[in-house]
Parts: sequence; structure tokens; C-alpha cells
Amino acid sequence: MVTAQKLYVFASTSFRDHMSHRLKLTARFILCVFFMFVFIEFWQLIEREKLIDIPFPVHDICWYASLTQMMLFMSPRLFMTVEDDVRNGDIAYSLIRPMPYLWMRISEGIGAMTANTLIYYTLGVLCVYLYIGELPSGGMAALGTALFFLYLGSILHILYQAMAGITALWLQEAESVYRIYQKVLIVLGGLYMPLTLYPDWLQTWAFLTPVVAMLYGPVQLVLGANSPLGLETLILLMVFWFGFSILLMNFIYRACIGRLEINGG
Amino acid sequence: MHALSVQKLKKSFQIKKSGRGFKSTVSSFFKPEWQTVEALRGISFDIEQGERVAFIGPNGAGKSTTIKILSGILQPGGGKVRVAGLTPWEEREKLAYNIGTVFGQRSQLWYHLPAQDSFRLLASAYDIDDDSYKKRIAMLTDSFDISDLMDKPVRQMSLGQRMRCEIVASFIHQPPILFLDEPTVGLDVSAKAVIRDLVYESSKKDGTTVLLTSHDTGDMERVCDRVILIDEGKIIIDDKVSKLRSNYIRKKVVTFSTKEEGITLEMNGVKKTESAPHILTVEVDTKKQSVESVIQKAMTQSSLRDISVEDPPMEDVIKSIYAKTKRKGA
Repeated sequence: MVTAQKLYVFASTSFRDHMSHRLKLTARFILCVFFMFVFIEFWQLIEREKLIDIPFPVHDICWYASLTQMMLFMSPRLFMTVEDDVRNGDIAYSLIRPMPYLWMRISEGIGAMTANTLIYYTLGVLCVYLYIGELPSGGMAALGTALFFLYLGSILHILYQAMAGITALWLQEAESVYRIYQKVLIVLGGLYMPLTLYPDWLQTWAFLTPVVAMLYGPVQLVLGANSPLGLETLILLMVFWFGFSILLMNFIYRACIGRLEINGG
Repeated sequence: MHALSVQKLKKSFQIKKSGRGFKSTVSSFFKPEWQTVEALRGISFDIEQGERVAFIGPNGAGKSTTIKILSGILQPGGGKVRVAGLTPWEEREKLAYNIGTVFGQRSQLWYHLPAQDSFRLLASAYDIDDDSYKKRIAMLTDSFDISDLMDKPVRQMSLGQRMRCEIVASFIHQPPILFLDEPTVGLDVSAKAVIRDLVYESSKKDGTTVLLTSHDTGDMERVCDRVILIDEGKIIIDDKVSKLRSNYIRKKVVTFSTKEEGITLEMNGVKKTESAPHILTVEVDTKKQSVESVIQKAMTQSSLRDISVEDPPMEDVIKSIYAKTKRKGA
């Protein structure tokens, strides 16, 4: 029986393992900070030149753009781990452990992401604050709530990465499925700008996907009083998409695992 | 109840035929052709609790396929299998608590972390409480002499050290059955000897059933009491290791150390295998010639300083058995 304690031990082992890769962690963090600064500059330029009419204070939208970048960099590339397991046959050897394979990998993904979160939520947030020069309009409360829900959204992102990875049992590789999913996340998740700046029809489409709960929903909380979604709506979205995604993942896992066949000698 | 029971086990794989040339490649894209490869052709055997059995065979013989079916990794194409009273591929989770596995080319240890982190993780996966884990790991650390490796990251270990830790990892939940697939592959002679002795001693102490596959006949001789020889998916021999030489090979290797520089032994059934000044080694076919008559003849020709009579190496015994089987098949 899978217990929360088992999942916790897998996650904490992965956390320690991830923390031992100091160089990789640092390099990825520096790259993230670079991208955050690029997007902050980008929005500040739009504001200075009055290129479009932004319905939010510019420092809020700079925080928005920084946190969306942070979420992408924080998440481990779990789909590649699962794909590798499928390709080299390790998945079959994991099946003979008293722990469902996909939950084991998801726990490890959460552990690795938590290691990243520690760095990004401290040093990353500090860098953004120093660069922008002020907190979001909602203050620390809005920022803290946004970061909390962003962590949950990132877990949802890990579930979808695991689903993309396991499709390698059908398609031999998971990269193509993940790329499609990633494009949906970037466009409909509001990676570059809040969904309220999108045409209405595209907003409707976006709300039919789980990516809203992963990225836009949590991050739009930094827009403070201008935040288009209330906290209650966000919580409902999260509960729905978590429930739906876990059911979908179990369905895909069962369908894919039936196809598992590895060579003999 | 047998620890393991295998009846008429069959397994085949579908392999896609790859075409040569443009036309063939395009046509195989739309209409792929498949080839069936029979990996196991209805093998049967039983293993009792506490038995140590070697599964020996050349590449592609079906030994790894068998061990993968027995451990629940693969589903067979036919036949019945019971391991610890369970059907492996249907009751994987229950079976996991009853078996330990070491696959020589796979690792269950975390590469960047100290070995003890992986041991703790596995203990948790197998629902071992903290007190039991501490007692068990203390015993295994002592038996396998890994106390100085516990805090060492796995990536900094030699292959022999890593393999000792792999075996400890598979023993943590005290499984009554242990599957070892090529556990000594890539190890040097002394590391192989250490691993073999440790597996033998541990299984003897705990009464663990061991099923070991290997290309190395040394693993079989040092660890196992019984050997199953398999080739092309069929069992050729299932017998005690001790009887393998006497029942299936009629050869002895005799080495003479002589006072004279050289002697010649031209006799029916006697083949010179090595010759050096004052040393002669011959292989005697005991069906054609007795060892005694060969020694007597040598004594008439020379003053002997020393004589040794040995069985041929186990590798030669196995080769000879395969050669006989191939001749019969032809």
C-alpha cells in the first residue's frame, strides 16, 4: 500500500540528491534570473514607450512575468526521466518494488522541485525585488499566497510531465508530446502576459485547460486588487484540476503499462 | 510447497524486420513485417527453499528472460509459474516483499548519495520500521564489510564496492528468495571471489533460496549446489554441480614434472595440451585410457619428480556439454 510516508521518503531522498548538484542548480538559477530580468526590462520598455495600454501597475506585471519564468525553471524535467526509464528498460525493474512506479517518480520530482523552490523563493524573489525596487501592490500577503499556489501549480505541472513521459511506451519517445503540452502551457497558461490581455475567445479556451491552474491562476494573485481571479475561484480550479489530472494520469498509466514489454537477454 | 515452481514456461518476442533499401524501408513503414523469436520453449523445474541454483547458458539462451518472468518483470507466453506461492506478473506488489533482485547491469542505489541513503529509502519502501532497519543494517554492514562505504557517495565507489552495496540493498527486507542476474559481470578476480563468498554465506545463514544466472562458471561452482543448463530456450541439464563433472565429462588433466627434459606419450585417448622443458600436460579420455596406464607408461620413460591429476576447468566441461548437445541436434 502506498503510504504518504513512503512518498515523503522518496521526495526527501530526491531533495538531498538534487541539492548535491550544486553546479547544475546554480547554472539553472543564473539562467532564470537572466530571463526574469529580460522580461522585466521588456515590460518596463512597453510602459515607458506607451506601446500598449496595460491595465495593471507596471511593477505588478513585472512581478507577474518574473514568477511565471520562475515556475518554468523550478520544475525538474521529469518527462525526460520517465522517457529514459522507458527507453533503457528501468521502468520494468521498478515495477517489482512495492511502490507504484509513476508515484515514485512524481515524489522524486516534487523533492527535486522543492530543492529548487528553496533557492528560487529566497534568492530569486530577492533578486526580483532588488531589480524592480518594490513589492507587488498586494504586498507580502499577495506575494506569499501567489508563491504558495505556484508551488501547488508546479506539482500539477509535474503530473502532466509524468503523463507525457509515460506515453513513450506507445510512441517510443515523449519529446513530441511534451513539446505540444509545453506550447499549450506557454500560450494558454499566460507565460508572457496575463490572460486578461488575450481576446475573449482565447481566454475561454484557456479556462478549459489545466494550465490555467498551474501558471496563470497562482501568479495573477500578485496583481493584487486588480487580480482577475479571486482566491476562492483559484482554490476551486486547483481542486478540480488536481482531481481530474490524477484520474487521467492513472488511466494513462494503466493503458501504457499494459504495453510494457522488454527484451529478454 | 516449492519456493519456485515452473511448468512448461514459454515466451516469445516479436521483432520488427527492418528492410534494406528505399523501397523496402517505405513498404515496411506502411506494412511492417514481424518475426517471432522463441526465447523459452516450455521449460520446467522446481526449486526448494534454501537451494542455491545456477542458471547457466550462452547469450540468448533464455536465462535472463526466465529470471525476468520469475521476478514479475515479464509476462510469459504460456505455462505456470509460482514464486513463494504467488504468480509473479499478477501479484507483483506482494511478490516484491518475498524476493530480492540484483541485476548486474542495473543499480538500485542513488548515484550521487551515500549508500546508506539508498538503504533507508529501500527500508521505507519495504515497510521496515526504524528499529528493525537498524538491527538489519548493522548485521549486513558487518557481514558484507561495508561500514566504511556507508557514507561514501556511490559514484566514488569501485565496481566491486558498489556490487557489495547492491547485494546489501537487495537483502534489506530479508527476502526468502534472491534472484541474481550476472552479479559478477565486469568485476576483477578478487572482487568476484568476495561477492561469491558473501552471497554463499548469507544465503546459508538465512536459508535464502538463490537463483543465479551467469556466464561465469566460477559463480556457479562457488555459490550453487545445483545447476540448470539452458540453451536455445530449452533445459539441457538439471543436476547437482558436484555431479556435473563425473556424469558429463570423462576427461582428466594429468601434469608430469620430469627429471628428463622431455618425454613423449603417444597413446590412444591421450592428447598433449601443454609442453615445456621438464613439464608435460596431457588430457586423458578416461573412456579410452585409464589414468593409471598413462602414469605407468610415463614412469617407464622418465623419472618423475611430481604428478598431478585434475578435473578439467568447469568452463571446458560446459563447453563440452554444449558441443555434445549441438552434435545430437544436428
